[in-house]
Amino acid sequence: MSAALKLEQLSPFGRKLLWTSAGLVLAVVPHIPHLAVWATALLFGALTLRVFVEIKGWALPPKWLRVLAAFCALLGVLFTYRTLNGVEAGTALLVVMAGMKLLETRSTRDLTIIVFLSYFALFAAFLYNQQLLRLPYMIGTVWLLTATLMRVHQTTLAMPVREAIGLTGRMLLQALPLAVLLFLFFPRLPGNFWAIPARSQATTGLDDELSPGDVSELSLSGEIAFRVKFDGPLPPPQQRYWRGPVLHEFDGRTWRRSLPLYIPQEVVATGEPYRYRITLEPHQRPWVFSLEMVTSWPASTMRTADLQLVTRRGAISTLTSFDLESSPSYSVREPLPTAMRKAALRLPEGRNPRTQELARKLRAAAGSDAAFVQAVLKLFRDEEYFYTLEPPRLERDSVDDFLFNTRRGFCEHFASAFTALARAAGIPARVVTGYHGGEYNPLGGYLIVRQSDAHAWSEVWLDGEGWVRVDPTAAVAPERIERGIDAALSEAEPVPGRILRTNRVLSNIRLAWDAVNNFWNNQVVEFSETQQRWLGDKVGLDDVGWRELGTAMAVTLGLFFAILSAYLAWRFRPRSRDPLLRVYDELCRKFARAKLPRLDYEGPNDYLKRIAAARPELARQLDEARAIYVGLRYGPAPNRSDLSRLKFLVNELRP
Amino acid sequence: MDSPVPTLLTQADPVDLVAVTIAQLNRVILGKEHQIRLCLTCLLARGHLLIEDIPGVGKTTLAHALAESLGLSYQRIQFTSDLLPADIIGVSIFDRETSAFRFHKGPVFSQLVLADEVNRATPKAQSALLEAMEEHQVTADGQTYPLPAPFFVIATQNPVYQIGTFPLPESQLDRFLMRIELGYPHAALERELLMGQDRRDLLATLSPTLLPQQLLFLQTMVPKVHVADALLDYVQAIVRFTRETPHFETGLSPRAAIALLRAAQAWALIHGHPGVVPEDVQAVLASVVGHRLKPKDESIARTAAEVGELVLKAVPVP
Repeated sequence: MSAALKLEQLSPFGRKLLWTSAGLVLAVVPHIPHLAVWATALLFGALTLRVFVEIKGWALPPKWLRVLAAFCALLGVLFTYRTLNGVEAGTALLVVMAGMKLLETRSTRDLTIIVFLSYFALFAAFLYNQQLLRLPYMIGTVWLLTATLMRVHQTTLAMPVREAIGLTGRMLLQALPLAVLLFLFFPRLPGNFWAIPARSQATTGLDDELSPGDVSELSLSGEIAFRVKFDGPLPPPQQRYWRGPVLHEFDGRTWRRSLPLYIPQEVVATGEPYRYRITLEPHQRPWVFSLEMVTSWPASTMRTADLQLVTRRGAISTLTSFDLESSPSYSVREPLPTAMRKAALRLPEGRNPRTQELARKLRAAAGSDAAFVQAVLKLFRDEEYFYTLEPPRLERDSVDDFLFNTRRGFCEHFASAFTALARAAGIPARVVTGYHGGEYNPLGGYLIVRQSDAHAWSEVWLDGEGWVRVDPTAAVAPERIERGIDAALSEAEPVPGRILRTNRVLSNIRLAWDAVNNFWNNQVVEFSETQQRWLGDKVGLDDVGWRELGTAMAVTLGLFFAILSAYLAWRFRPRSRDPLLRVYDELCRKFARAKLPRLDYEGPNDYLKRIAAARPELARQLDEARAIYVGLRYGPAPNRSDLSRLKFLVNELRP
Repeated sequence: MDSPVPTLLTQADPVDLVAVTIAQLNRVILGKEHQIRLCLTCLLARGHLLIEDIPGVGKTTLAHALAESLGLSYQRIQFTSDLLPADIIGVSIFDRETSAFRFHKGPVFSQLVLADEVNRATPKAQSALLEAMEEHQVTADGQTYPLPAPFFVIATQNPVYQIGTFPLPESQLDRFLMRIELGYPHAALERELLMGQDRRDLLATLSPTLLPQQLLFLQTMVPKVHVADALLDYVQAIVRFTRETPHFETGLSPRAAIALLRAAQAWALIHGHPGVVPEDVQAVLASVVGHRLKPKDESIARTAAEVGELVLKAVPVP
């Protein structure tokens, strides 16, 4: 109650300060999850202190203290982030310095700076997150900040909040065409120049390590991994293997990527290729998921010897799209290089002994490598093995434990066991991780692949055929491969968002929302040089470079402003056809150009006397003009013939 | 007749007529020419005047000097909290000789009434005066008595924050055409005041500069001052602004708009303008609208002058 009373009694400046502070808080809120706790605390502390100073009428802290605090804040950022560069350190610095600036805010100019800092902080939040959901919040905050900026600069009449909000809303709408033009035509540079530096932030997604339980844990996440838009028909569900990290190293429990670079082998692709554009959510890792087997890729990526697609630019830290081509079947005719064969056969010494024994037995019985593969799959299919999201924990020799004791597992268990068995039988084999399947969104015509679609399978080397994909999960739970995870697991399993996928209405709403998001991602966030070229093609310009774009921007902006000025000129055209007013307007314009403008509320007597005083050499003519004008406009018996005299006087005046 | 007043009423220039009066009043009330002109404007526009200021700045002296200079019969009513309506309008007394009630006219029956400290009386006494002001007549015991012409009330009031006051309600404030404030005199003029003659002695030396008939004639001339369409546009723009802006509780009423126009006409008349010009409106604006507009937010405009300036600066002259 008393606080509210105090607020009522605040000076106009105090109120402006409160509004500005509210805007700052709104702008900083999206950063809080990324900020060091002390930085947030410092900002809010400074804010509280400043508002208290205003309410209580205290003095601001002395200058030396403020300088010291700002210096300490700078050091704090430097120590916390080890740098002042980069997105995180940069925003932290912005936020703490905004707090420091609050402590020396005493004039309209300072408030303006705070508002600009708030704009900056707000837009910096886009560096972390470009989701569509953020947009309404951003727009709302920009709106409020702009209204605050306007009110901060009002000195005489304080505009009521509602009116200010209405006016700035109109202003923002008026600025919209300009923003669209700049968005479309502002030249984007190809390459890394604008790229946002990678951040050290843990995100969900496939790692280049695979331990039992990793994929099943990932399967609980409904987050989107990537979206794929096909240029033509979709591949059937059995072929939707999205290839990710290929793992060679096995320590008995965990599979890892091997670091040495092998010599790439020639891949012979057969079958009609699929052309598609894949849009990856940022996952902070360099690999690009691709449909097996990728045959054509952009220059920014490369296919490694183990047939995995990676970027040349390092981790993918923003939403990124790639145009790819894949063939459903492929083979490698060349023999397997020795180094790679050795890596694909290596098993840890003395681990999983029962597995090794089983493999030797099966291999001896099978007679050939291909028959051995079938024998193992038959084992998984016919014996009591179960596909479940919640497998029991495994002992140190995880493969032995799984094959002979628990017999319950998710795809990584089966892939791991199969690969270990193959290696023990002397067949080069490796684990491939990635995603399988995806949900088709009929509203957007694209495929959504989620973390819950994460999958792991095996590849074995069969001489003459090359690497052959073997998916042991398909043997245990064929529904998983045909119809997806929801069908493969029993009702009791905790699959996230199952209701969202099985209920028709919910499913449609979800897909519609995803289609909107996809549009936002592809057409707005991902709008780049490529889209500009495409746009250029549409209007008949080929090979649009920055020069053409610059010209287009200049021309369209010029056109925009020309239309705008024409409209404004029409809107505020001299309304009167009254020749008397035209003459008087002419007189006012002449003196306005001579730095003696008429104030809106100034009557003709006051104005002409004022300029006569400022220009004594013109006083005689001005007095006469005044008498004639006032007589004509306000007098009881206007003499029309005086008008020509007035015109003459005004024409002759050379202010 | 030995007064210096020209006898040929109709041929006299209003500016000259009024100039003499203004000059005389200026000798008594130092450095307040604008307020004196506003007083005469108010009188000529047949309006009543409210002077609001702290005691001792010359409210009563001004009223007295005005009465003397205009040759009007003059009565002063000191408003107190125990003042009764009968003390203002008069009382009927039984006459033994005629065996009938006879009405004894109260002090309100004079041409110029000074209602001193009007906000110290109870609302009942206030409304007795204000009714007389509005109706130009007094009704007592079923009998109606007309008030003399011209009839002009100058009411003074203390600022409302002073102790023991009954502030006039808006509806009654509206009866006053103008409200003015006198304010402290300039240092140099105050020195002259301190050194010069006693104001009361000075009042005794004043002679009428205007005949009541001349005054009535000038009053009839006020509505005839030319008002151009352009000026009506301006007045209407002002009125519209006060109704549309969020700064005031309510806008100006049509009666206030008429008051503004009449006051501007009277101002134009005494300044010799053949037609009303926007500057005439601006000159009277603060005193006409100051007591009629109540700012929502005291921090925007507190005094009448600030209210006037706010309105003035917000409305462009068309």
